[in-house]
Amino acid sequence: MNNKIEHLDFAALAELREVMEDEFEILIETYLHDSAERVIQIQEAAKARNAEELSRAAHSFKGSCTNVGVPVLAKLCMEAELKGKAGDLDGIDELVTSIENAFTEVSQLLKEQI
Amino acid sequence: MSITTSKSADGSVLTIRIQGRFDFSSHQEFRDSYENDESIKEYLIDMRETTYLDSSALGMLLLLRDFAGGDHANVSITNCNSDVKKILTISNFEQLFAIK
Amino acid sequence: MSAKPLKILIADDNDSDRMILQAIVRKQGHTVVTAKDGIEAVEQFKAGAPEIILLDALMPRMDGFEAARIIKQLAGEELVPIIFLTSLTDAESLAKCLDAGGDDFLSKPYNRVILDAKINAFNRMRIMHSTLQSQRDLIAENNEHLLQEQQVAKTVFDNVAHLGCLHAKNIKHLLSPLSVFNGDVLLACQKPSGGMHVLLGDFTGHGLPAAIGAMPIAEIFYGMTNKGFAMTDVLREINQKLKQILPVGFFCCACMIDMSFARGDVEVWIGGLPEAVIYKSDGELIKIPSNHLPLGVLSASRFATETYRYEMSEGDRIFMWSDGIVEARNIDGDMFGEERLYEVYSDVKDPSIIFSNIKQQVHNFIGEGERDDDLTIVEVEMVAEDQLGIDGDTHLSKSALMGPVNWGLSYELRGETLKDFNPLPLLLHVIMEVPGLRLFSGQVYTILAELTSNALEHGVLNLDSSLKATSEGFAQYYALRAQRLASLDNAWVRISIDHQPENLGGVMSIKIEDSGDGFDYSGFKQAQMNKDLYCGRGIPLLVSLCRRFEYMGAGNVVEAEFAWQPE
Repeated sequence: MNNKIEHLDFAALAELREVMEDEFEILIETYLHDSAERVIQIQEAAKARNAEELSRAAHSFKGSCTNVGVPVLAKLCMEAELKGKAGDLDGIDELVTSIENAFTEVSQLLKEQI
Repeated sequence: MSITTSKSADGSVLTIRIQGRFDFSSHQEFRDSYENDESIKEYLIDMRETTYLDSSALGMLLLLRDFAGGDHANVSITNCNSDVKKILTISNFEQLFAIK
Repeated sequence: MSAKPLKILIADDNDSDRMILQAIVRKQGHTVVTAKDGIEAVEQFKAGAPEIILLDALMPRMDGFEAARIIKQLAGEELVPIIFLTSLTDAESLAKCLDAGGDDFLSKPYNRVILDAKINAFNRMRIMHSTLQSQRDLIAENNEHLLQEQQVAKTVFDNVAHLGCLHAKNIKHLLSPLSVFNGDVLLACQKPSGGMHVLLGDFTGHGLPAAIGAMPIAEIFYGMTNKGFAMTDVLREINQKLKQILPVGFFCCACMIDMSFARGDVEVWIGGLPEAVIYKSDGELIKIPSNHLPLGVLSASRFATETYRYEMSEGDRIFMWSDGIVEARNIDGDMFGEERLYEVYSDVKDPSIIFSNIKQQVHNFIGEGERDDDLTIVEVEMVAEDQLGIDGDTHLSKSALMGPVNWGLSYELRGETLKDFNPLPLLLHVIMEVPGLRLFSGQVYTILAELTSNALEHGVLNLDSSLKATSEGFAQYYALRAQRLASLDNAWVRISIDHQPENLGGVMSIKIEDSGDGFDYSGFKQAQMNKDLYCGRGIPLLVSLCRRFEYMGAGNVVEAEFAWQPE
């Protein structure tokens, strides 16, 4: 795990809070629900050693993480996306585990925000 | 096409020099070159650098002549090249303008 | 914040992304419709016509690229800006967005300030595009109206100008139907006394202003020629009219000819047109240069009427053309030029094909797809008058009423009027109202002209035509004529004309009395052909034309009768 990158971008979250107003909570919940599915997609792609699928799923997850302000997860997804694009699946299981763990932590942190 | 003007020292003679093609597009610029000054007694149209003249240019010369007093106007056309001279000759404009 | 709320379509397969965008856009005051994939996006577009579209690039079922292509197609001429939502960062993918029809892209994380700015910018573009389109449609509509108006103007002009006698057998001409809008005018009219006038005019300018000047010219040309006026009179009148009505700087370069088949010559006035040309059947080419200012420039007092006069034998031809021929351009922009034109004359062996050769050469030179609507050229051939192939009545305007056949009039010229007024055109005009008599206009004119001339010169002025026998005497005669005319006092000439129907034709009686002393005509009946006594009075000619011809009183009264029947 990389301690240098924040788990949450609080500035981004504050901004989101302002934009979403009453719907901030729903947004976070939607994000968490969506993300859980995406993590599963990534796990399955990795298990099946399907580089293209991995790349696509990681790209998608990266997107929503960026928007919600979760830099650490976004970075990990980027790595997974690049590996998938390059067709280099060495060490992919470790990377997926990192993603799972990061997600667990981030989920907890986000739930505290709402 | 561009038009430049210069006045004589005593302000009574206006020389209008026309560079390039003297045609329909020159209309406004040509008029602007003389219309604002009512004190001019004599006009010299210098065609040293005029490459071409069409019938609307002839019309513009007539307009100037009319502005300058019609039959009493003093308008000369100078330094014409052979093409310009030919057009002026066919139209017999030397009956209306001094062509030098 | 934009001025007016827009309807914005947001298509993104990611729920949280979609939610965020929706919130941002709603907060800016716009209404939102959403879609989860490309297919839904297209459906939403069809259903609701959103004004701006935010489109995710990667979506299931149908991706953003495909959706963008379809939506742009459906939008047709309308501008519906599409902003791609993407976290793709490589140039190739971004370019792909634009190639697919996207107008811009927005990257994640979505920055609401930037999104707002982009929406506003594209909205301005959308509005401008819409304005341009309605302006374009308005221009197209106005242009359509203009063309229709031009058609109407052309019809009016054709009715005024009509073809005159351009279809005579001795005339060949090329004149585009739209040439009037290039300022080109070609008029031809038979003269009542025989011969014809032909006028080619080239107005400055284009379009309606050029055409407008042509109408009064045509009216004057036909009106005066029909009434027997001389060419220089017609030109003087046209010049004055144009000077009056055209703005300063507008004029008409023209060439007019008066061709006399009886005399075998042509009189030419040319002002502003480069030149006219006579091609003789032996191959000689005579160039006639412009020696006048164009019509409409000089005031009446300064207008000059000097003409050239050339003899022409049968088969000789005179050509006139507007500068459209010489300035005709091919695809490379080269001009046809005078050289090529004169080559046609020098190359040809048979004069009768010169005209068609010129036409051919110019058309070949211009090539396909180039404008040929300002080529105006006419050839008039000297022929015997009965070869013209024109029915006497067709070119003159027909009156709706039946003409007068049984009438009498008396016209007296006195004092100053006797000195400077020529009554012939007026009297001829009245006489020609007799239906069918027009065919004899030549003879009628001759009789009237001779008799009035005799009354004035021999009767009133007492001039002796034997003076005219020598060239010296000729000048003397006219000097004396001018002198005596100037010092005339209390003189008069009375012309009485009577017409009565006879069978299908009629009899015209002319009686002319003058205030002179008369002469001794006692030997007249016996010696009608006595040249000494009666020379210069055109008596043999008059006697041959008239069924009765006699002097009365002191010899200052003459009566003549002209009988005619339709052929």
